[in-house]
Amino acid sequence: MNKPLTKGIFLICPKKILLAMKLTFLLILLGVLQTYANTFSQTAEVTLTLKNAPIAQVFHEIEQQCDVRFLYINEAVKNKTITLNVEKTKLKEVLDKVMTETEMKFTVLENNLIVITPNPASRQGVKISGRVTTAAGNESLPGVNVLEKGTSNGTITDADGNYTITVAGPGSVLVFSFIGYLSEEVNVENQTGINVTLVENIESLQEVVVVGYGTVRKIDLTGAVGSVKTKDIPIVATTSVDNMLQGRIAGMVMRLNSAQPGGKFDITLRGGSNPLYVIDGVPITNNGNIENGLNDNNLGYSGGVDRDPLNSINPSDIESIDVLKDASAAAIYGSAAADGVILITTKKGKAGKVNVEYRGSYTVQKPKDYFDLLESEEFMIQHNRFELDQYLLSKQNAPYGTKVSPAPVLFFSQEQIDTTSTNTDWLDILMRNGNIQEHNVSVTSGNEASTLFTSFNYYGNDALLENSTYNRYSGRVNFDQKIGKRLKLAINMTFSQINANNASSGANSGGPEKYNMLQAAYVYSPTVTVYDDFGNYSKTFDPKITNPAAFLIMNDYNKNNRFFATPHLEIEILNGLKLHVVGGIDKQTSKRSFYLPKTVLNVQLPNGMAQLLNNRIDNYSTESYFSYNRIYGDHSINLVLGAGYYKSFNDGFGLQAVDFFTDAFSYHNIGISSDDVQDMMNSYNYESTKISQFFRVNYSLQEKYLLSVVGRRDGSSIFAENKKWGFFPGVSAAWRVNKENFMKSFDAIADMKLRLGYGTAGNEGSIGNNPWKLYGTGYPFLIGSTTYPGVALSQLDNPDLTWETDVNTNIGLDLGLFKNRVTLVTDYYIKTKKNLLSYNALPSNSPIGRIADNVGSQRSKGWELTISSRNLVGALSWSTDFTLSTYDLNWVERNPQVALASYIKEDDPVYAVYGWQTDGIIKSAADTVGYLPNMTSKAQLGNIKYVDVNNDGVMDVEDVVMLDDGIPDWSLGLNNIFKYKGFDLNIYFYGLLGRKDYNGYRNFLSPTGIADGIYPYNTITEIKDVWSSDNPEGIYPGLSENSNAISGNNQAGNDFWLMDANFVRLKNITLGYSLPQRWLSKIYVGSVRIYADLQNLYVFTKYKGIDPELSDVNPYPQALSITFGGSVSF
Amino acid sequence: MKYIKFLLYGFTAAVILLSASSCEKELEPVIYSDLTPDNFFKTEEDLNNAVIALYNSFSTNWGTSDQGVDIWYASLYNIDMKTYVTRSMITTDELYVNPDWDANLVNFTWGQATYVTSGSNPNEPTYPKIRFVARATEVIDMIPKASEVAQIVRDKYLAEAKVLRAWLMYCLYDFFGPVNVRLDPNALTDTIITPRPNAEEYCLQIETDLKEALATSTTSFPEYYNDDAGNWGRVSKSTARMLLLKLYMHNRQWNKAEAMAREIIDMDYYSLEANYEDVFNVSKNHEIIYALPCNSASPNYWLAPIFPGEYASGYAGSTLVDVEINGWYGFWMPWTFFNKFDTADLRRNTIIFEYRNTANRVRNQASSGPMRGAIPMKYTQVPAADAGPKFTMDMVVFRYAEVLLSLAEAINNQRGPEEALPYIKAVRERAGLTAALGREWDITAIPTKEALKDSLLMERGRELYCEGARRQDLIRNGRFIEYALARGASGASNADTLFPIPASVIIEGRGIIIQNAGY
Repeated sequence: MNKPLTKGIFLICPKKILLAMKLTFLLILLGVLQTYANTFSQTAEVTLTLKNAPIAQVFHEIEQQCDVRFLYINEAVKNKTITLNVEKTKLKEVLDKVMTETEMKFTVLENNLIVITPNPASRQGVKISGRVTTAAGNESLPGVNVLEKGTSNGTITDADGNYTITVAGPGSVLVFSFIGYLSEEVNVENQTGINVTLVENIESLQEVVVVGYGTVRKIDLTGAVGSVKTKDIPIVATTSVDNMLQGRIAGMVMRLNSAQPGGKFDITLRGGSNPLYVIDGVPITNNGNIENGLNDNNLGYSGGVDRDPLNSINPSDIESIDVLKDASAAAIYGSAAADGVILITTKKGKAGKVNVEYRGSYTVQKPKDYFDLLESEEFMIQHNRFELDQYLLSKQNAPYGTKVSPAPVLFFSQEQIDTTSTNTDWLDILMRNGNIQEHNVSVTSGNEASTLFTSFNYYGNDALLENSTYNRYSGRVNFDQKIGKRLKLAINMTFSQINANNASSGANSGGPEKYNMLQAAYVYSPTVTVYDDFGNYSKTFDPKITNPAAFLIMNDYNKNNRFFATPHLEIEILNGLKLHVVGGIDKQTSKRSFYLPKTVLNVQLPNGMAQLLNNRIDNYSTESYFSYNRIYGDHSINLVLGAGYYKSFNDGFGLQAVDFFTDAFSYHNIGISSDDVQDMMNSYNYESTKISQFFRVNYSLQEKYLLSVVGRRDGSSIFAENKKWGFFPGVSAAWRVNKENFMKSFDAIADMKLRLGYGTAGNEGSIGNNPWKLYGTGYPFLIGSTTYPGVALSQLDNPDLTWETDVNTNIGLDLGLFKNRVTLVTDYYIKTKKNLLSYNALPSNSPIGRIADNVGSQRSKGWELTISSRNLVGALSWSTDFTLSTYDLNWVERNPQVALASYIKEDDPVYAVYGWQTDGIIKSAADTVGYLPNMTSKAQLGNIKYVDVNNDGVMDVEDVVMLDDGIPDWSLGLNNIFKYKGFDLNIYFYGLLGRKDYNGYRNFLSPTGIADGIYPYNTITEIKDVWSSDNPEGIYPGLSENSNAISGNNQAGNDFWLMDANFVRLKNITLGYSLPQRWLSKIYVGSVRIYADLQNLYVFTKYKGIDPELSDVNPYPQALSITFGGSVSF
Repeated sequence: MKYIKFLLYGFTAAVILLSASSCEKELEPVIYSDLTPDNFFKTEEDLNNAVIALYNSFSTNWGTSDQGVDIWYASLYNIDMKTYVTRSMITTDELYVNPDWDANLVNFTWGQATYVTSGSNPNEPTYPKIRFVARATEVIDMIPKASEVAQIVRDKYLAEAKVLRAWLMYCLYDFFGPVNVRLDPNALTDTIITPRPNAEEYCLQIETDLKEALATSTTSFPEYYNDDAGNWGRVSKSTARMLLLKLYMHNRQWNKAEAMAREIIDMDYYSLEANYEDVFNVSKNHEIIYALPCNSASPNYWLAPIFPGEYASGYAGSTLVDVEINGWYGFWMPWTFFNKFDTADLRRNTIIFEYRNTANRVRNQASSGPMRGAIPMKYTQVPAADAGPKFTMDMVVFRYAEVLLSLAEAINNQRGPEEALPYIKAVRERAGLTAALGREWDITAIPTKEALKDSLLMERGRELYCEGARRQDLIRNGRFIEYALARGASGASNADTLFPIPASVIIEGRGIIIQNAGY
């Protein structure tokens, strides 16, 4: 027999399904009440023989025979019994009879839902009526539970939100409650008409959270789980769901890695950086980047595609994201779950009217704060300044020395400087205003037996760099079908295609001949025009550098496809016992095509070069599990027991062809290339198999004491011989303190829960291929004209090698204050990473230098806070969500074989940064005293001034200190939503504080490039602040920076360029307006919303450089984006 | 359909799994892109590639990421300033290195701590080649066991592997003295630290390997490969003899050196090229005993570090050199050395001492448009298709002229100048130097033994400049430190004739591995 879910509301379902599903089902049901026609089966017949039965049993029996559902208040029917004997009688007749005998009445709502309420005529007292509406949209709320406080007297609002109830008298109090809304209490006093508006409970603790192989109510959670519903987040001009998560989950630190379209985020979840993604219940075994980097052997750069692997999933299709943060919850994903689990759930269809929604937007992107390069005249002046200084330095003239030499002839004559007319802005040639267009159509439909959600999405971005475009086409079909009473089939399918042109950015692997597009633009002289007199791309002073504009005629095209399907079959074997069979098919392919035309005049590849790269990642999985839910009185039990089989494949190949007699073929006919020596080909193939068994037991006593035990046993083909199987358990418990009687008097506390968890999970990714004895190619040699690959022993086997294990303790507190208007979730954790993969050195004369082993451990401790607050309710509503987290990560035990420098302590932070402290630069001869006295080379003016920490007069390893712990101290997110009438305003901040960073900025401030007397390189305007003899107030080190003195004595570096990289970014401001319903209903439109959005408006930071979040040497420019968009639904 | 089948299969499997879990077979590792002990050392190609990996150390290409340690090391014969061949030049009077590149090499201020073998681009890439000796030991052990391969084939690769092991051991010996190489195939991965052997023991092993290779039948292991384009680049019996000659010279075993030089001469195959420049410009000529083959994928980088970046055109002798070199100007031949070439010396025609830069200014030794030093080009006929900084000329390693000069030195040290002179004369005459033209050399009068030593050392310097022999020559004649001090290398001391064993090796040795004296 069913039990009340919450006090007051009681629902009988024809089938005994999950508690959580009942809730969902109820919401769905109520959601469609307003619109659905009355289809109450007038013809249905029932046969009943009952004696003194509770009427709840009558309803249950009727539900078994007819396609109807009953909705009633538990207290109202509790003591009523009836004796009934009917055979093949019309349902209406039976109900009339029951109602009369029990002094109740019934109302038939849509969808065959029958609401049973006490018959007001039969009661004595004050009759009160009124209407319940939503605070936000002033829409009527049907199904609201209206209860006279302290009694069993209650009713339910009808389809229009109206109710009538008879209460004892003016002293009575009415309680209005509804799932998903904050309860209201009203003193009756002398009123007879009481209208109530209910405020939506955004952070409802009633919410359902996905935890892997099932769901639990948020109030029943025992582990540390973060949760985000996408309806709360504006999905604007973003390709990946990861972009939406920044700052939303406490404890998850996300840093944008590249601002290019679809750029990747570095995710750190409680100090781990490789979380497992689970999409619609299917773990993504290999979530690697599908796009291959270019072969940079000859080209010099790998072409900078650094995209988020979740680009292929349309963010608009996502319903919710749940993050299992601690091992007590994540252990159900075993050896892959050490760094947490991110569960993504896509939208489902809903029974009811067909709903068609179109959402479209147009975004203008403007380059934001990029490098400011010197213009021609300044470039020449600055060059001459530094060339002169270089001369004075090398000749030891004043102020560097006392010699006197004749004045040098400088590279640019005064006449050249005065008459310069060419002023090419190379970055301007490469950059443009970008735009993003997005169109999203979704159709939702369904009935009792089947529901459907389909969507089609186009996302097109002409990004800030001229040759950088990104187009995604994606479609989705999520289909759910009931087959008979005990079988359910669900299939989620999505297909996406990404076509992208890549800008020639990204890491570079060599000198100026290998510069990429942005690097070339920084250093190319503004004094040369794009083309020379012959119409060829001109050369700057250093002829090795490729002309920046020439990069724009290169072709670099990516085409990625992904097909992802998750069929799910659910069979109800017995009441409460179900078998689930879940398949996972994830097929990704990528093809990259690259052509560098002859006309580019690349020094390394003067006759053109083409590359074709193919990559394929396939993940297949199948899982079967039993789930069992049962409530016995005060005991509620939920079991999951299952097994899975997973296969992952990754293969591909790459071709490089060099020397083309024509550019006509581009990369379409690479066989005509004529340099078969530099031509290259490669291919690879990897495969892995994993077999798992898993279980979970959730037990709840009186909904007050909760216990959860999970475990998983994993076996994998990548595990070493003696460690084929691993077991990962997790246990957590919670105590809902507010359910205790002693808490009744604390009115302010609506909800209070203490959580405690302990578990272990594995990091299988750390194993790599280290368990095996291997011979590897990679030792080539040329004999005659043949290059043989060369094979040598590359690895010794370690049959005992095992995964890294995370042992995790979590303590959490959930608080709901002031009727849950403020909810607070906080967690403290200690996470110990054990069995770290390390290499033990073999003596330096052995054929192999190392053997992989599990040595050492690290520990992170952290604290997380999430606050959701409804600051204002009513006509003007204001809600705030705030996340804050901090953690540190230290060594506990290191590999004793790896010698530590004297300045490193055994338990230092894992990512600690060491070096000498600095104190500005040497600006006068007096400053040089005591500087590096043990070095053969003397300190010069313009050198960095180092701090002799131990005051021994010697700068050496003894003066090295820890400069930073290498991780941000604080990560925060702050979201504010304002609503007034049809308007909504969303302001979102995201930040990382207590953070330092070295970045590529320093390279621009080194004067050696611009000072070069033969090949002057351009640089940024701040070069003016570099110290030189005629700029004694300069703040950056001058030409005489004594780099050898530094590296010879101190490998660790210094803090001169280690900058504070704290920032808070105003990431989004969205202003929307929903047109009033009353206008729309006239033109048969469901809803219309228009909005404007500003992305990346401002960064609060003291950081010097273009963006504290992007620390690349040559970062892709960040955009300031302005979006206009709208959505219409029918 | 495949997926439906897969799903069904998985479903069935998963259901079975719930009751049983005996599926170890499913979890067998699948390795596609590496070789395992099960499938290697089976065919001739396997043997060849195992030996090729040993050759890899000697490449002219930049270097190799050593998968056994996951560290990238420069090759022995690459022109990077850290390598074996380059350090053999830039620590001597024939070639200077830009102090910005490595001041320690200029000043002789290196020490055990400054030369490290770890990190992403370690500045000591030669010592780690000791791993290749151990790999050679494994290969030498495995080849005879490859029973599916014909004996004659096994002999070929076995002989090559032995010569390569000996050569690797010689390079280590040259730089560091005897080191604790692994020669026991059954103890390759032992963690026990073995002490350094004494020089006699160590050199005997080199000698044994080379002599065993020489004892192999000529069918398996030919005398030379100059006429076999397909195998050009493999070591041959001549290479083995040359290595023995160098070892004997190194150890001042003059009688053994003389015998080995004569053995090479008596082959009656090698001869001096008529024209000095042709030695380097004509591939596989009969003066070359061993050269490293180069092509655009495994290039010769020699010209890149010696040309100024601003170089536009100049002359090497009468050869116009105006190819695009795109040089880095890291090394140059000091004028003091260049000026030791007589103007009539034809070998001077391979050195550029004046050029025009991209701004059309003339640069030369004169103080008005100064050049740091001469450009020791050596390879004057740069193939037309080559654009810098990569070139395709084979890099000459061992050649006949060195045999003749070594023979002369060996004779002079045993019996005085008279008998030695004809061999020197042959080399000088090829350089266009006839009587009375030489500066330190007067062919009409017979010099004293000591005077001949000195002038022969200089003659070797001119003949073999920038071929990697200079450091050995100076050390053998006791002049290495003297010359270094003379040019202002402040830190030079007698200890510097050997480089220090890297600190990491000493630390790992825990007192068992003894550092070279003076460090």
